[in-house]
Amino acid sequence: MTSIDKALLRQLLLIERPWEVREYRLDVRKRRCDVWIAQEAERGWFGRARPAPPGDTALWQHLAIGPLRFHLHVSLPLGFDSKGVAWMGEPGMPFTRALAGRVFALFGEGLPLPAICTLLDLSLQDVWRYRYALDTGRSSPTEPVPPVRPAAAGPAPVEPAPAADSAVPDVTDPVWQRLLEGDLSLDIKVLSLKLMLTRLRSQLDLIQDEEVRLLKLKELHRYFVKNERVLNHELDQLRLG
Amino acid sequence: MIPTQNLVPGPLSGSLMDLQDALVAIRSGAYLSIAADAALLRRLPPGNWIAGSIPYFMAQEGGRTSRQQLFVTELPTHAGTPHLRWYDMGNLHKVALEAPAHGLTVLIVPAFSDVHSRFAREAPAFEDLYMKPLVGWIAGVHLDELGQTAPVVANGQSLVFSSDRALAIHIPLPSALYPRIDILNLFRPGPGDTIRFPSTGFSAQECFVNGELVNLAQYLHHKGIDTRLPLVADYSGAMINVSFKAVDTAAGRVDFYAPVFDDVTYRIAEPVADYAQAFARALPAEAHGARWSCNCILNYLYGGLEGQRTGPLTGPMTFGEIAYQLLNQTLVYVNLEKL
Repeated sequence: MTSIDKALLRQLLLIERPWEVREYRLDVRKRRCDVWIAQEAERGWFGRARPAPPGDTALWQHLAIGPLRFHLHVSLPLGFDSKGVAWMGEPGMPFTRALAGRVFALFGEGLPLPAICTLLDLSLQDVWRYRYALDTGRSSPTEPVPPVRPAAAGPAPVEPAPAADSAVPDVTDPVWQRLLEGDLSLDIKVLSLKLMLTRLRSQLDLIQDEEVRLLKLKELHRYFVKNERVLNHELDQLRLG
Repeated sequence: MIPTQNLVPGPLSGSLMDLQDALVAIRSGAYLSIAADAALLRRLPPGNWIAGSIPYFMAQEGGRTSRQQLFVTELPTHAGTPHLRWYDMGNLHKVALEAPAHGLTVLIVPAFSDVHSRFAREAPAFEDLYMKPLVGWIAGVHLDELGQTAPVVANGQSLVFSSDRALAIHIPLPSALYPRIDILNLFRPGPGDTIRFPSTGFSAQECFVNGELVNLAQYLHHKGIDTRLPLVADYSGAMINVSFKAVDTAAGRVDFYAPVFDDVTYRIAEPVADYAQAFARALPAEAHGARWSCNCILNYLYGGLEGQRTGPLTGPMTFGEIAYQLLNQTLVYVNLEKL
């Protein structure tokens, strides 16, 4: 018999059959709800539940509801492919696809990690883990999720915006892609740019997803905006293309 | 030249001094970066200092090993109070995020610790790492005490010492001052084989030499390669070394002082004839007023730098240098430039 709480929880989390909420633990003080989810047990003769097939339990943080953070403990049958299930995540990742999509949308908005953590009430460790997986080609963004506007969720650290008279080409300028993909070489005098550009290029070799590649391009652009005053030598070359 | 408070006499990149002089510097209230033997560090009073253990120095008179003296560098304080912060395995990835928007961070990491290993392997992926200037060094011990004594890092404000946490001092600077971090690496990739590694790590067995899978230890042995020469990779014009720590031909294993990365192409470095002269010659004029510097214990040992000067720059000779990421066999220095 499923309790009303569990049935409601299943609907709130948009979990569809044959999955069901087996158990949950709500800690109001910590604003955290842990939910254990598994497939409905198969019924044998006389309604007896058959033992669950062996498998793994994955833990993903899901979209919050109000001030409550949801952590889903999902019993996955062996060989189960969770692809396309929004309330599940990729193996080894901290977030469900739905939450990862939100985080990725904020990456795309150029928000720094601490701001994303504040807005979505996430741990920096987890966001960094997700970002690291994207950077190393081990994860890709999930189904497109509408960007979350930072203004709707409170103050966030302000990213440097190009000054009106900025010499940094706009982020849409093809020069960034050429630079990132190695089609354009620069004589670089600033050590941090040498190291960063090398890292971004090697990451790009691993990243197939176009959205993540765009994220890398924005990261490079952000570096130039922040350090414009010490990059005259490099910007002169960029302008010449 | 950027104005300095000049509370610590000698070169701007710091001086080797006796305990009494160090006490005077501490009592002046200046923010200091200190390097000395651990026993000496434990005799220091509370103050605005950050320290790491090492008894090897490039002093104002030349290379020196000393357990009786301390290397003291005055840190710039032009825009607000610096703050000291410990980093362990749980928060190390925040080191650049927590750095001031305009400023400089000096990080000291105890050698052989988990934070050392994590910083070495993962720092290039830390958020904002290349956005904010970060330098530092790896604390070590006298080579006679390797394996017997743990390197330490010390917070002068609390007099807390640690062998398993890194300590940073985050120094805010006015936006008109830019701390330009640069490196001086004597080594250039030689004309020989290209070497790539199947995985990132502090040790390797197999590697790809010119695309062919071979055992690295056997390769080094057969080729008669001098492992005092590091592996060198070209990072968009910056030459980045990985130094050999040990080669076990029987076990077919090679250990390094920094990790080799699986996405980087390396070559064995070309030999350097005279380290002291090469440093002095290669140092650009703008580096002469550097406000902070460190160099590598391997350069000190392999280059026979005891008693020799390497130009005007002074600093500790460390178990690893940090210029944003971990480096080996490299001189790191910081200039404060007016924008």
